[in-house]
Amino acid sequence: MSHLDQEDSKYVKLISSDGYQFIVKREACLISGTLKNILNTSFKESETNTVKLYELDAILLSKIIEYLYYNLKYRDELTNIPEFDIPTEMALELLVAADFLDSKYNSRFRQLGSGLDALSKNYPIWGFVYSFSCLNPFIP
Amino acid sequence: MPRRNNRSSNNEVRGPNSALTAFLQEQGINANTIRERHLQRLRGEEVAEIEEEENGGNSSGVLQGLVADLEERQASREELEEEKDEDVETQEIRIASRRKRRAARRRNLGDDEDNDDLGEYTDSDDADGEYGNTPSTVKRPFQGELTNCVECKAKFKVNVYSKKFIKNGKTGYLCNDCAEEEIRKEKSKRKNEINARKKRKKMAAALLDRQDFKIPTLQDICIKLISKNIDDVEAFGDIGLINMNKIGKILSKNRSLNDKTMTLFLMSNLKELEFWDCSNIDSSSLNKIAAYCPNIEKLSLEMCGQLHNDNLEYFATNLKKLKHISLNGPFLISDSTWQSFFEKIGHNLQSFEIANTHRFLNDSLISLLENCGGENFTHLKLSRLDGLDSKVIYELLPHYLTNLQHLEISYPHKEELIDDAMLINLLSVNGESLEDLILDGCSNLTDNFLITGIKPFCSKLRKLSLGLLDQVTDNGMVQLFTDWDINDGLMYISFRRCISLTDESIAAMLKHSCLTLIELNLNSVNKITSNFWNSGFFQKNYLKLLTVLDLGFVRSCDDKVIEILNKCCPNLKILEVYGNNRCTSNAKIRNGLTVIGRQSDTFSFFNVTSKDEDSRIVTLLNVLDVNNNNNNNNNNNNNST
Repeated sequence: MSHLDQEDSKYVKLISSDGYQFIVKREACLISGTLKNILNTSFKESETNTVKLYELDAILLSKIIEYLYYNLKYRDELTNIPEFDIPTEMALELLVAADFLDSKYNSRFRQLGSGLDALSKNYPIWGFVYSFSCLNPFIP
Repeated sequence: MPRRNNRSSNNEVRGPNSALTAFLQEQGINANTIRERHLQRLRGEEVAEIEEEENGGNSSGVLQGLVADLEERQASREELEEEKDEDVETQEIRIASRRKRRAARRRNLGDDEDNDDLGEYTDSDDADGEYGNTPSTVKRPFQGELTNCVECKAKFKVNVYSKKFIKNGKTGYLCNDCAEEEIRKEKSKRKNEINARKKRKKMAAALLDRQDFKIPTLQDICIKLISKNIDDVEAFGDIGLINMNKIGKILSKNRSLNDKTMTLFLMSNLKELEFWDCSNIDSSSLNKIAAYCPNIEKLSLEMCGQLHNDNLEYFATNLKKLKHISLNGPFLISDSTWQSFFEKIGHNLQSFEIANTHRFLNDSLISLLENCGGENFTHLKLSRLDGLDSKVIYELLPHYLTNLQHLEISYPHKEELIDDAMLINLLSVNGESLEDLILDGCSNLTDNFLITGIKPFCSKLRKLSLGLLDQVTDNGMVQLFTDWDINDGLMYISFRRCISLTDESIAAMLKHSCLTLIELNLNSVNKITSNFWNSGFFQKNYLKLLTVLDLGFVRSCDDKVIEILNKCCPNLKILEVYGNNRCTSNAKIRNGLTVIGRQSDTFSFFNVTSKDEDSRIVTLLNVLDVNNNNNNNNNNNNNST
């Protein structure tokens, strides 16, 4: 897998807890907030483009990768999005895994936070806004 | 020009009528006239004229249909006689084809609203009308006659199933291959149309639910699946509090939170528990909350109509750490139980929220104040409590409560119960710590409490909700917000249905709080004029943080206003414009801003589903009803009964 060595490689290798390796498009990986954060840092993972996911076994990881591609394919469409099929018995495990991989809550917070950040620079007095962030409906 | 047929004018005795029926009758709109119009369109004007002459001009739709039918039948009989010498087989085919066409036409005439079964192909609209009535244009070739295809010019034999086609004004028939191609094209066209409709419908539905129309996240897919199969789940495991709350909300929405499913949420280390719909949880299961989760600090039960005296007593003895409790609709709890509850647990309590019960009496409140009042007690909500009917009791509040951060007194039993003096008194004691103040429906309050209550005392206030205070005027508002220096700005404001307010109040409020405002509700403040929106204030980005704005029934809001707000509020995400019929889809809005409540959004959706004028109007009325419910939702907590 020599092409994985290049930093801007189009593909990323994901390794499950039981040692299975998945070569996945980088674009698809970036849908997951956690993977995006891992791949965009200066740690070893981003150099080798390889991420070890000790928490996920191969069955779960393959389902997650399936979702990433599903999201990549249909995210810009408005209609005709087929249902994403999940085996019922996997739902709970997958929910935990999905929660781990998608730091959506964080990114939302950051979005709003950045707005406030800019504000507090311009108007130092509004610093208190942070302390009231618990009142904001957009932060769960 | 009112058109009435004989039947309706003869009928003098009628049952009760809806306004809509009366209106339609007055305008002369009825099923017959609509059908008549449709018929005329189908047969072409020429024929209609001839027939009108024949029938003396007063032929009803049904009669016309009958006449047409008879004519055709006669014609077919004549033809049959002529063609006796032809072989039997072709005759049969002929008859079959005619029957088919007639049936198709009848279907067309009979229920012309039946446009929905688009998947099926009928050739009624192309061949039949002209063939039956205007033989002059193109004569249908005989069975097996050779003719040129209009599309590809190839010679072919005409049969019953040949398709009539008009190209460049020339009418003719299509050969088999071209016909298939044409049918395929039509089908795909229809399919596209249906898809477009589905899309519009989905988007309109999502809009009403305030959702973005996006691809679901993996979590949401899982949660949906889990909620669907909740009966098979044995335990949640470590799915996290956020996900658990989400599942809880979905179950409540589906009304499937019951004795069995509620136990899934009970864990011994749980500190916060929220059940949004307890109406299906019986009394013994409610006891389980205290039995399984003794560490709960914050408990919130909505629609808890099954909460018995015993339950509350059990909570009081078992939940030693309970600090916050919020109950909506606990109407089985008696006065004496409330008192003993506060006596047992009151010293711990920091927040108490109650709504929708008539058994919370004056003595209950006194017990609450005596046992809980003091520095620790910070949250109080008293909403829709018809048992509190003494002004004196309300006047006790300032004597016990000194450190309130959140205060809601809304929809009192009678408006006289809450007056300016009592509230000014309360604010003078608690104003320093108060962050949220909700006084919806206390319509006895006037400008006085704004000027001498809120302005001098409430320095930390962040949220102010004054829904339905019709006695509050510009004078009070302008005085409150002008030079209100001790307050740095409000974040949530609701002036819903403060109908006396005009431009001046809103301008003063915005001038004071524009930089901090996150949510603003001006629903039904209908004296706001269009000049207000055109003022210089909206030319600059003062409303930097504003994310939710409700302008429902503010009639001066139109496309132009939407565009102005679109520009000057960079963070605006939801803009509600229910009831403003000059807001159309023409307004240009950026991505990320959702405008809810425009007629144009819902009308494109009506065109798809509704079948005639009546049902369209009815659907519109329903939607308006939904809007009203939406508008009332925030404060109108559903009673559990």
